[in-house]
Formats: sequence, structure tokens, C-alpha cells
Amino acid sequence: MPDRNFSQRIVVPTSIVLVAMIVSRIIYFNSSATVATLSGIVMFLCIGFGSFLIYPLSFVRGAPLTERIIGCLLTPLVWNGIEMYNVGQAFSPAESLFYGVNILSIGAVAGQFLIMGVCDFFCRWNQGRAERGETKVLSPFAVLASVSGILGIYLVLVWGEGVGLHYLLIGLYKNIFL
Amino acid sequence: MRSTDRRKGTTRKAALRILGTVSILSIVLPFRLIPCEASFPPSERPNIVFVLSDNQNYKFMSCAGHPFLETPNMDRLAREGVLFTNAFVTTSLCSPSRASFLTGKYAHTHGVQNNFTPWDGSHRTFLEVLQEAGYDTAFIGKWHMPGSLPNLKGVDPFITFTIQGGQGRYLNCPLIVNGEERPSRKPYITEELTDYAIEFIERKRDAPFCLYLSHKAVHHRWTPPAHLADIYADKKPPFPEGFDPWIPVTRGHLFEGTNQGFASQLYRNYCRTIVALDEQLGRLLDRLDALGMADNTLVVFAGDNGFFWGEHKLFGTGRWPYDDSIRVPFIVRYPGTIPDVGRRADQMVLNIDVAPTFLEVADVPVPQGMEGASFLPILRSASASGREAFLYEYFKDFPYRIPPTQGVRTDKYMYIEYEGRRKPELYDMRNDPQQEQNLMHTAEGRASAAELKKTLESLKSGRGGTHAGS
Repeated sequence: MPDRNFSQRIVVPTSIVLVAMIVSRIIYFNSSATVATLSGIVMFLCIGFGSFLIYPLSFVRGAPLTERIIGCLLTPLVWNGIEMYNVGQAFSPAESLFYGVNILSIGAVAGQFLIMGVCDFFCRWNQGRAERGETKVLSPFAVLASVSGILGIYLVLVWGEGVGLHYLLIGLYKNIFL
Repeated sequence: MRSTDRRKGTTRKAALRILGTVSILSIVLPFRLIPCEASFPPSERPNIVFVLSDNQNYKFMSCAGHPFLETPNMDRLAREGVLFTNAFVTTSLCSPSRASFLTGKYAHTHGVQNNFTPWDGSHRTFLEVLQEAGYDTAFIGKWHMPGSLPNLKGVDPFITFTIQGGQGRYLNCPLIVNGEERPSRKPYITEELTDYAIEFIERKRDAPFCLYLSHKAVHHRWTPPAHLADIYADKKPPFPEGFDPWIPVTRGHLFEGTNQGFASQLYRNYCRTIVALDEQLGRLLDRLDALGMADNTLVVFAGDNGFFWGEHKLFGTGRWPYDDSIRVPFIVRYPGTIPDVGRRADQMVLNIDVAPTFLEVADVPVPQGMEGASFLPILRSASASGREAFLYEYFKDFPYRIPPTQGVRTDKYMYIEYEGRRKPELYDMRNDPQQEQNLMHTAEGRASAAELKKTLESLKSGRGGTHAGS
């Protein structure tokens, strides 16, 4: 595995996706419908599927697992942070924080975990091929990330016709704030 | 009950009076399509059928000019009655609006200000008043008021659902029938509720009846019945200029449960569920015909609030103080009362006007405290004056990113004030019905706003604006 510094192994891969998301977001909100449609594609590709780029890049550059996880989650979390800030015009800081736990952000995070699990498997498989089978292909992290990702996506998209989790969160809001 | 007693005590004189009335009506009725200002009061108190749809944008009926949606039964009602083209809700959100329909009061009065503040049962509904006056009453369908399901006074049966936060679901939705949970009898909720409604109107009774039928449709997730699943597949949704497919998941549109699938597919399913609703409305109207009740039944079809399909780059349930949100479908059929059926009435009517109108047609005094006013005069005469202004109000409702709002709508202007950072807005509704040019940036607009602000303050203090028609 090549010896890379912190910036090379995680900051660069993460920044590619994060900057692309921020730039496309700025374009989205300041352009015509056609350009907004295209920039929206880039924006949501970064938010929803950015880990497909970040995880393998950081893996082959030797980033430890914690860094890989943080790098993959950073873009959806930044996007969600912007949404939480915007919601502050109508709600208290505590409510805005709670707003961060919404079905789309949960879905985005769950999606990253699923992608990380899948990518981890393929990265190890590829590494194993290169190192002639010395690497264990299926890591506990890959299994855990894939299962939690699938579970999260199920809760967001399928459970209770796709609104069950939403109503659960609303119930939680009532118990905390009302 | 009252009508039963009256029949029991029919005297010879009364019988002659009825015979005379019937003879006169048999001469007059053939000419009732001729426009005139005369009214033809029914000989008995009328039945009342109120059908409420959910989240139906006012433009989504073929009689409202939708480019491809076909709603023959809503059209039929409009053809046989009056289509109100300026019908509004005073709070564009499900629970407050429903409470306003039921009580004839603004949200700041009845207290159901958003989808969290509970219905406390302290405000009388028109159903309760009508039942006390001898009506047989039923509440069938979506209740969706915050708080636990009440033992709703003044109705029998009370049929509703509580799953999914009270929103129900389109397929196999369990119902609560007079407090007891029952499995669905029909798989599709719109048909199921209509079945219960038809069973109610078919009951043998001496008293008139009032049916409140509030559908789950057309709230998301817009699941159409199987036989409508493919209609409009080749139709292109007429999204507004500037619409992009990401609008449903940007700008805080996070929680509608509608962010699955492409906007055009969601739009078509919305239309399909409206067609399903229209079919069931047709079943109900046909049953009224078959039972010989149509001529003595007031039918009102309305929506609880609007829905954005990209207008103002917004998506979802109303809330915002723009027309696609606060304006609702509103059709009234009342045989024998409307001299010029098929009319389009442009007078402003509100959800809070429904309760006092029902009480007036039932010849029941309107209780003090109801803030709406009967629109019966507008049904009777096209030249009746409408209200001049009304108060729009919206209260904080987590997690939706809309600041608390108060506004005044006149036939010319919409003036809006928000709590927090958002600046006031003013729109000229005659020249800019799409509300695209905020006149607060102009000197003329600011001058008009000063007057409107006074009207707003007056409405807020409850000193005007409740006049519906005269």
C-alpha cells in the first residue's frame, strides 16, 4: 500500500466530492431550469453516491477505517448542516438540530454505509488479487456497514409505505418539544 | 326528529298546503333553468352531503381547465351547481383547515393551529348542531386532528382511521368505526369510505341527514387503484416554467413522503388518485339520484388545502400564503336554489363559511362565535356581493420550513407578513395572479401595503371581513 500523508489519503478524495457538491449546489440555486436540472444531478450524485469515489480512493491510499468513514459521511453531513441552518429561520436552535435527523439525511447516511460496505469488499478483493490471496476479503466492517445501510434504506424507503420513519420522528419531536 | 313529528301531526289544512305547493312546483320546475333571482325553497329541510378531498390543488379538475385530467363527476356537480373560483382556506394546512370547516372558526379561535395542537372538543361542530336540530349525522373518513381520537359529539357513525399519524393509507386501511377497530372491507380506501357513505344515506329514516365524507385522497403517496394505474402514462405534466425535477427534495422539501420517484411520475399518480376520487364521487351522486334524494340534497365538494407542483419553486402541501396553497376546489349543488346552474362564482368564500351555510339551509340558528358567514345568498343570486377581505394565518409546524404567517387577501391584493427574517410581500392579484412580482419593492406597493396593514390589524382583532354574501 503506498505511503501517503493525511491530506493525500483522505482530504483530497473527500474534497473532490465535497467541493463538487457545494459548487453544484450554488449553481442549482442560481440558474435556469435546464442548468439546475444538470447541477441537481451532480449535487445529489455527490450527496448520495460520493462514497463510491471517496472510499476506494482513500482505501488504496492507505487511509485507516475511521478516516474513510468520516470522509464518506462528510458530504451528506455538510449538506444536511446547510439544511439545518436554513431551517433556523422558522425554528429554535434545538429544533433545527433535531431537524437534522430527517428521513433524507438518514437515507443519505445509510446509503453511504451500504456503499462503504460494498466498496470495502471489492477493495479487499482487488487487494487480495494483487497480493495473491493474503487479504481477508470479507471484513466485519463490510458486513456491518452493508447490513446497517440496507436496514436504514429499508426504514426510509419501504417501512410504513416510506413514511413510517417520518411519523416516528414526528412522534419523537412531540415528546421532546411539546 | 322534527320532521317525523311534523308528519305525525299533519292536519287537513297542512295537507292542502302541501298539495298546493306540489302543484305550483310542477308548473315552475320545468322553467327553473331560466336565469332569475327567485329562489325555490325545498318543502322540507334538505339533506346535506359534504365531500372533502385532501391536498387537491384547485386547478386539478377538468372543469377548472386542467389540460388532461378528466373528472366528469366534479364537472357534473359544477354543471348542475356553482363552481366557486375564489374559494379559500384560512389556514392552508390539513388539521387547522378541517377544524375550520367543522366549526366555522379561524384556527386562532378553535385552537387547532397546526398538526400538533390538539382538538380539545370545546368548539361545537356543525354536525353537533345539526344533530341537535334533528338531523341524522355521520362523519366518515379522515379526521387527522392532533391529540387522541375523540368521542366526536353529534355524529353516528364516526368512522375514521388513525394509522400513519392519522393520514391513513390507500390500500387495506384499518378503520375505527364508532371507536372499534375494523379491518378494511374493500382494499381501496376511497371506495371503502364511499361504501360506508352510501350505506349511511341508504338508512331508512324520517329525519334529514348530513354526511361529512372526508377522503384520504389525494394525499400522498398517491396510490391509484389497479384499473387506473396506467392512465395518463403518455401525458406530460404541465409543470410551471422554471420547474426542475429536484424541487421535491430541495428547499426544505424533506418530509412529504413524496420524494420517491420522479416528479412526473408523482404528478401522474396524483392525477390518477383524483380520477379514482371522482369515480367514487360519481357513485355517491348516482346513489342519491337512484334514491330520489338528489333534488332535496345540498352537495358541497371542497378541498382542505392546496398543493404546489413547482409553482414558486415549491412542492407539497399548501402552508405558504400563495394561491396554489390557499385556494381550493369548491363546488356546490343545491337543486331548487340556484337559478342559473353551471355558473362560476368569483365571490370569495372560505372554509369557515361552510358551517354557517349548512346551518342556514337547515333552518337552524347559527351559534354565536362562528366566524364565517353563509354563502347561500351567492347561490341564490349571481349578483350577491362577496366578502371584501379575509385573514390568512399560518402557525409554526415542524419540520416544515415556513415561518409563521399572517396575511390579508382582498379581491385585488394579497399582503403577507412573516415572523422572523422574511420580509413582507404584496401581490396584485388582478394583474399578477401567479404572484411573481412583489410590489413591496415599489413606492406604489408600499403605499397600498399601509392600507392593507390596517385591514390586517382589523381582521386580526376580529372586527371585520366575515361577510360572505348578501
